[in-house]
Amino acid sequence: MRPCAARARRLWAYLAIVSVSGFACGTEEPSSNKVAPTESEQVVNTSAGSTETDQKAAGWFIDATAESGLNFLHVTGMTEQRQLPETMGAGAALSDFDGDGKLDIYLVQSGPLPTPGGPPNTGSQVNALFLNDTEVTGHFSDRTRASGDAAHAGYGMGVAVGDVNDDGSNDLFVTNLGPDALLLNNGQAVFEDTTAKTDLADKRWTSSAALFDADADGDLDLYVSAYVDIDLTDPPWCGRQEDGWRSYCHPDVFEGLADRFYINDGTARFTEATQQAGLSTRPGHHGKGLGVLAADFDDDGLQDLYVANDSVENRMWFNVGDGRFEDGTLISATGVNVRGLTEAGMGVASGDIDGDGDSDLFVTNFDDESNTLYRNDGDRLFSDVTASAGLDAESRLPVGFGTVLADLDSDGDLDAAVTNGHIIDNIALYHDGKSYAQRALLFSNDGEGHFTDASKDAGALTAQPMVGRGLYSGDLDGDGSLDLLLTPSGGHVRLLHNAGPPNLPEGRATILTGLPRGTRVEATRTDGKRLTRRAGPQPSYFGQTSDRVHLGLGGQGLLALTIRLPDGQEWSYNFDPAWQPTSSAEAFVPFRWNGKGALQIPRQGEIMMSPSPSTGQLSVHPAGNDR
Amino acid sequence: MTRPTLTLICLLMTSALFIPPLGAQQAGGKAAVIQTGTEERSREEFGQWLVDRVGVYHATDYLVEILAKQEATERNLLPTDEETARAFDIEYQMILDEFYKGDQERYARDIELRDQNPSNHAARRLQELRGELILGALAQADRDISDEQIAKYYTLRFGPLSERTTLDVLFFGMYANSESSTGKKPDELRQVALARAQSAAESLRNGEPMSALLSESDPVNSDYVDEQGRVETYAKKLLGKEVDTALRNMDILGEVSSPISVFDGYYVVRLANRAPVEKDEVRSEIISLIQSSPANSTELLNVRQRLLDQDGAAVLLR
Repeated sequence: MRPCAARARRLWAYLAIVSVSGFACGTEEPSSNKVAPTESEQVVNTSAGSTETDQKAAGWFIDATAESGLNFLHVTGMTEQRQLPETMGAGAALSDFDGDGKLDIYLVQSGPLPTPGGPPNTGSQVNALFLNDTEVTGHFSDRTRASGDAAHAGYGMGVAVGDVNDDGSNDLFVTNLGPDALLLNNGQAVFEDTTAKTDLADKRWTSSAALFDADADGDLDLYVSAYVDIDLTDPPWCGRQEDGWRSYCHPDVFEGLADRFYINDGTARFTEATQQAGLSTRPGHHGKGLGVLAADFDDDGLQDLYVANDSVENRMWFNVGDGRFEDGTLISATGVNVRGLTEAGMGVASGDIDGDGDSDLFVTNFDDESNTLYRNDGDRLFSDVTASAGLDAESRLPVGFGTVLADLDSDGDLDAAVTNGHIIDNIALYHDGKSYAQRALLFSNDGEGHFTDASKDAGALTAQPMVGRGLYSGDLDGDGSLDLLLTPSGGHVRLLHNAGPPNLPEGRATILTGLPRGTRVEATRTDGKRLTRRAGPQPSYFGQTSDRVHLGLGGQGLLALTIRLPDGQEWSYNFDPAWQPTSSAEAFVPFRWNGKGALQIPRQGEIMMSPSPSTGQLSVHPAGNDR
Repeated sequence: MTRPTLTLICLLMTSALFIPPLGAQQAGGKAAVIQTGTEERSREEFGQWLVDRVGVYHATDYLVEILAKQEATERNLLPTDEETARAFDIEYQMILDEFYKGDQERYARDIELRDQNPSNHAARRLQELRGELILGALAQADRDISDEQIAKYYTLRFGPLSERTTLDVLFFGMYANSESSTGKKPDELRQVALARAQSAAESLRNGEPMSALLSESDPVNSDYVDEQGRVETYAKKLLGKEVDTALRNMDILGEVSSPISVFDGYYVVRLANRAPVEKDEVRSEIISLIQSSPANSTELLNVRQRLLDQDGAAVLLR
């Protein structure tokens, strides 16, 4: 067994004992978001033939929700009218909100639909903030009630996180069916709603958002995708006109809405600049946006944008400088699949799946479609390589939502995980073999961009079907491996501890924190393998993963590291083979970039590491002697 | 243009696959030679190459193309060359406007970046469009025109009161004129559009003809509005719920609305006519409506499935 996995399992066992003994760290009263599993969830568990004990059986991922202190039930507000917003689920974000260096969790809630005359949200169903405990990393305390306006009560969809006012703390932007909200963090995980001071109170149905530096001026700008124009007072009847058969309408029934782009003046004052940035679309051609991703696809140092749209073309926008974009959908061939067909884009992820250094693109789609992998061929050209990469067949039956491209086995390449779930609760009436709750999928990468279905080894990730929506990765328990957070629609949030795949050699990793979004990190391992990663969060579906750079070492050492900041500054580090970040007693050492060329090692008494100006060799010296 | 038609343009850019003419395919037999790029392959090798390259689904597309053409020939539904060329022109203009914001040079450059020149780009796209038009025509011809369906469309088109409502429509957009490029904020652009709409509404009430006001207004992005700004038969949601709401309070023929706010500007509408209609007198109009509206993605998928389900299709796919 891998040493770190063994330690982590001991940690979870300890947490379970503490929890059972009544000494869990959370001290607040349970909020209304905290409830026992619903009847439908229990039915799902039974139909899957699994019990909670089964889920905790050995496997790559272990369900650690109960022990973690995380207790949150998403409420869809499902009505007899089968209103489309009820199908969407809600997102989550993994980020450090209280500045203690550990990943916390922000969860978006939906609640009763804001229908005129409908049941009001009395304030009991609100977004929730769970902070990673100071004493026990990986255990969370519900701090919702102490978080100020983070306990937001809109009919929530998604969330984006970033330091929008440059005060060193991570702020929140929440998308809703109804007015969106900008929530500024005071540095102690207490938030203030400042939406009224901006142009951001968009009352339409917005879905995802990306905070990224569009104009390279050092602050985070904002792109918000909007979904469809819907009239909650007059929902059309879709499906068979019989009791029990009413179904959710296809998005084709509704008009798409225009996405919006906002420029930040550096103080969290946002002004709409969609038209000026070249990001406008014409009426009749608006997308039905669900996934938004900012990444440097053409490697020119500027953050580009990709928008996954539902049933209409996805859009690729290349950043051409000065905060302006040009439409690269056709040249990149990322608007449709290899057959020229639009797909129902939901979740989106990017990363270097084939080790050639550029960012490839992965989009999840509806059933009877595959999820789609677009390989970056350089020069803004992409190829749909889904079939040859081995990602086609298994994704045809389920409806894909949240996804991550992440090195889940820490072997140095990006694996793919997808959470699935239908949008139509009575789909089984219409189609034999289709179900509302569906199993997630896990694909292991061979390092060349070819994937193998590893779902059967994935433990709790795939053990039971669920109405999957959000899926986010991050090292939540501080052991160097990437854990997963799942936000099913109408279900309990689940935290899965990554214990590592069975029958694989030890896969150590190191993690870099504090790097500006868009920073390119290139690592060379002692076996010569090169890894290229980019700092910044991935959106998955409606939320965001950890923004930290995870470097899977696969049992090897780290030889060299090159950090290229978005402003072009480059720093190189050569590691002494005799000193390895993973050779300490901890086996895993996270680095923190201090913004001035030094890497700090918090767990070793704040040792600083700077490249020697003359030799480029790494030097190690005490903190406070930063060069 | 239908959404599937619009999107299929990307196939051209994603694939260097040369789909051989049907004649070559139908020649059959092991000796038949099919060209893919610069390579020549037997039919069996081609099938394997196709599946290896893009999976069985692309091979299925190819089969559907053959079957659709066969059936369309039998049912006399093949598009003419003129119809295909017209569809190409409409699509070209749409792409230029929507994806390139009118920048013809950049569009041409992108075509070349995909290792194509404009002439073979056009030739390939025409061939693909022809296939799409065939599938669309089959989907339209498959539509149900039963009495029940006609009754449903009758209600949708003429509303619960069975009235034909005719409207004159003007639109004043926030982003459709030179003001939008002056760096003004959305609120300021909205104010400009509102002022223009108010002025036009006043002029219309004062008897100024639509033809004079049309040149002052912006194009309405809707296939339902003709060049004179007229919607012969207005049905619910044709121009959005905001217009529907305004119409509920308009009863007098010739009445002009106040500016109707929509997300990107303002409509001004005039109630030109409202008259009762009987189902029988509009039966042919409804049938024509049912059969002429573009096929949606579900209908196209249904046609594909029907073609693949027919006898012999599975054998061909193997």
